[in-house]
Amino acid sequence: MTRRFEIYRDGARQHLAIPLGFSWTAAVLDWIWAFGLRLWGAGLVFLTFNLVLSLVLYANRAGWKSYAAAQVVQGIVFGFTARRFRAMSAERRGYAYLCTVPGPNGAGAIAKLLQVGGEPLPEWKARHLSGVPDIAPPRFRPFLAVALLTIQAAFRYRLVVTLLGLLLAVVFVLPGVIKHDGSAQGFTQILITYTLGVITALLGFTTLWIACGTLARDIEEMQLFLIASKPVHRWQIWLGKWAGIMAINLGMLAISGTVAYGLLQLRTGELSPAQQKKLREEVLVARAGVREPSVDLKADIATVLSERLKDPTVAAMDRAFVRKQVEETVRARQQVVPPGMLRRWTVELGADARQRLAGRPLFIRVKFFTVQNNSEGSVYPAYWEIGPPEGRRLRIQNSLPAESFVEFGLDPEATADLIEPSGKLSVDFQNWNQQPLLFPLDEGMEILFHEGSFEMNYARGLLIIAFWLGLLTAVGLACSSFLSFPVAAFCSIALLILGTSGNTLKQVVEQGGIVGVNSESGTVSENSLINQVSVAVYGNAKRLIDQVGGYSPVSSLSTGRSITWGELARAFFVINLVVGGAVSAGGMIILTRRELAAPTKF
Amino acid sequence: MAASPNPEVVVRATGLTKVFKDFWGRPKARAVDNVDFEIRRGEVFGLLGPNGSGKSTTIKMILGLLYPTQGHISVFGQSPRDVDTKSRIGFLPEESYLYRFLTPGETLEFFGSLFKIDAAERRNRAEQLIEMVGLNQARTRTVGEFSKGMQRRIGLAQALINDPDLVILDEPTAGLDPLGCREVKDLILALARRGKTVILSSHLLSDVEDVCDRAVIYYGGRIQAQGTLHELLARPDSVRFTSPVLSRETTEKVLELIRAEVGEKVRLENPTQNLESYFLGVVEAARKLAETSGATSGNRVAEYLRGSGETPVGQTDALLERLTRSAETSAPVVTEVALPPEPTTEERLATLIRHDPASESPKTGPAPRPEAGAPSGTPPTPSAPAAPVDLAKANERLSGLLGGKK
Repeated sequence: MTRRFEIYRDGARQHLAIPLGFSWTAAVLDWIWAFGLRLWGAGLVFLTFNLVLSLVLYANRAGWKSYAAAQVVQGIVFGFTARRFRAMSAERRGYAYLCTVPGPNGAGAIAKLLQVGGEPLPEWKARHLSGVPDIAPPRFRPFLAVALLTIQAAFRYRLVVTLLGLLLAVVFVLPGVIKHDGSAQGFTQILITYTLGVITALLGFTTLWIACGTLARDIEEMQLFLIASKPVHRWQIWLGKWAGIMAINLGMLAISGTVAYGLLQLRTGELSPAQQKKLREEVLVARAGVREPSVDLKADIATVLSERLKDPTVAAMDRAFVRKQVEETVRARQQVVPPGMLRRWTVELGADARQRLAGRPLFIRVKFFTVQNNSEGSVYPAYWEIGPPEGRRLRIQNSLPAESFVEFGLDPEATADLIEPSGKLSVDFQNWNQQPLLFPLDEGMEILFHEGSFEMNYARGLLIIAFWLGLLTAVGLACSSFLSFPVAAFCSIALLILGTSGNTLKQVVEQGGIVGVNSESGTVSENSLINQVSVAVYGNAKRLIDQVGGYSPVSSLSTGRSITWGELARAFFVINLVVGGAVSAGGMIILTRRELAAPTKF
Repeated sequence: MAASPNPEVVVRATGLTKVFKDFWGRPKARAVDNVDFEIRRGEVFGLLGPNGSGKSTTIKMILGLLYPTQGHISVFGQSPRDVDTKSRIGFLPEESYLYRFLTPGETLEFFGSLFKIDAAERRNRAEQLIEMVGLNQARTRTVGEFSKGMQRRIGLAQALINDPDLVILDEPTAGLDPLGCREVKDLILALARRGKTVILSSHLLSDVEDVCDRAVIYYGGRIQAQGTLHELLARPDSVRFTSPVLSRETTEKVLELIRAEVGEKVRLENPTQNLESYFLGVVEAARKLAETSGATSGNRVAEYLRGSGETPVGQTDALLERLTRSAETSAPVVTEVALPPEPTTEERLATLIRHDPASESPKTGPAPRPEAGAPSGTPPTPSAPAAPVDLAKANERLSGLLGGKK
């Protein structure tokens, strides 16, 4: 059978024949085929596509027919695109297209060309595998070119291979080195918390390093000097670098995240059946949490305050101090459950909660404080009644530790009966202890219920990590827009450390400064300018970090908490658009205004 | 931004000053000081001067990479920072600022993308440029593996990927072998013939002398001299005659006649060809006998640089014919071992003084530009109408003219 082959020739006049048409081998073997031909880019694209597709199908509990259909579609796409990847690879390796020659096989086609002296006949000139077409409109080509260049640099300098190796080592080695205690919590701690934490940290530091290096080095080594002499806006250069780094990050995150997930599923068998059940119900799920609606205490505070101020002694005192005391008193009434007393929480689960959650377990998540310091191992008896106040109720008696979050599940069979038709759920707690217990308003009691699959939740969690990496990329690029590489790297890593030291910032703000701190009272004794400035700077930094740092996917995933699409959108808005956007805009403006060819100022 | 009143003016600098400041904003160096000049379309304009005289700073201000402290500079009537204007500029920096991990093809693909050139056209131009700069044998190697000369070659290719109207070459022959130098100079001449404007900054005075129409000489950030080469180099107080070897008697007679008028201030000598011409002849002969794995030379100027790939056949013919006619009348012919003698600098000056290109023979010196010798400010003279010639012959001559393979 005669087929047609595109013949390529390199500078040493070596020929290469690439067959035209559908590639069955690529369709069946996809990434294995690509790696076998040393098409690393195509192989990574195919492999990532496979992994992501598998994750999505698994997350949606797809059956074998869906897998088979997806594989067929994927095979068709790969089969038709495979030759193009080969052509691109050949051109990258220095081969140039010569002609298209019919022949029984590649060697036969090359022989045919050589028979006519190596110069193609006119009818052989037409080209079919025309490399990568311009998928982007012309205005985006410079941006895409810079992004692709950044990716290319990461591959050529072996950064991608090294980083991927490190990430996979973390994913495989870490859970192997640190043994879990056989409990679902311990298993989760290592397989999700540690692994995802280390992946995030590794990618975070690498991102900052690359972001600082790619721009600062280009400026120092004058490559940017040459690029800026071309018709490309500097913000396009900046954004292209950002996109290139993020493409690498997304690839790394997708591969390492998918492998970590696979390992998590594989190693579930190490747990006892009871712990496996606990893991499936409490961790490998996406659970939403509902708290009691917040109570507006302003009216109560105003009433109590006016009562107190009637006392001339109190009225003579500092008004702010009195108000603070009243606020704490009113708040304590809501939070404290005195001995022998009952506290009722009523949460709204939604009008359709009875049907939606029937047969699924509900969880109560509580945290309380005691007056006395909680000695290690101390537990406090608790008596719970859950369900409609006037109907059938579920009674639970247990012992719980103080000052830490505790969860306990309710019988799934009873769920439908416990929820009122209006969707309300009432939870009563009776304090049988000899001392009052304090349940904080913001985190004292929460009802958790099943909302979606763990896999989609996991994917959303990885996306939030990607948002974080996007912000770090912006920080690195912004610093390197006006600083040399080592200084930019130092500054951006310092910012990262500052961002993770929220407690230090909080402490400075609470003690009122950094100079002249009284060790007994824990506050500054003088209101100096330094203290005022430090409080302003630290306070604003803390507010910013609190805004951005509120999105922590790892803790949500390791506690089986749902990361909703709304949270995902909010995280993107805050992390990437508001904070990341401001940082990026700053970086782009600085780079645009900078005299790139100016000598370094000393 | 004030538009250029004259569309023939490509670059205009008025009172251009650049002061470099230290971290605290204190003036540290006045790199360019109150400079005025104009560069017109189709000119090859030379920037001459010792190190640190302000040449590169001027180029960086033309490219919008440095901003003037005082004065004004416009390129094609626009600010140098205007992005669209940059699509008409090709720039070869004084050192290789290319990405070391890219191959020549990838380098050109990247820079082509920055100019928003279509994929097929990018590849087409990249192929032609790699061929032109003689890096066909080094396609698979990355720029980091290249010698300095090879890096200059790929740097030159990237400067031409957009078929620029203004080509800025900062020390284009630095690091190149004599063959490469000759090719670069031939390329500059070919570009100028197409109406391209070339700014050439070089320490090598012979480079500037060979190809430039006008030049400025910088020292201490100021322009010390400016004008056409004729204006700068003319020595109106002396005359040189060149002729085939004469008999002793005839020579004596001629000398006698001259001495009778000017006394003993007469020199008589055999003209010699310059070392560059001799070297090129030797290498050309050697190239026919052996191959090299390094950069090759003598390749044709990329087709799209000789005329648009989409140029109708008639126009291409006219272009080739015009170029060929130029070669017949004034362009350098330096391809064979048996070279005719190269005129000395004084002879070239004498030729310039005579203003009679048709009388030049043999043609081994630089080709006078159409406007050479014209008063400053005169736009380039348009070419004469094309006469019909055999296209194959014309192409071969063009190849020879631009250092092409036979």
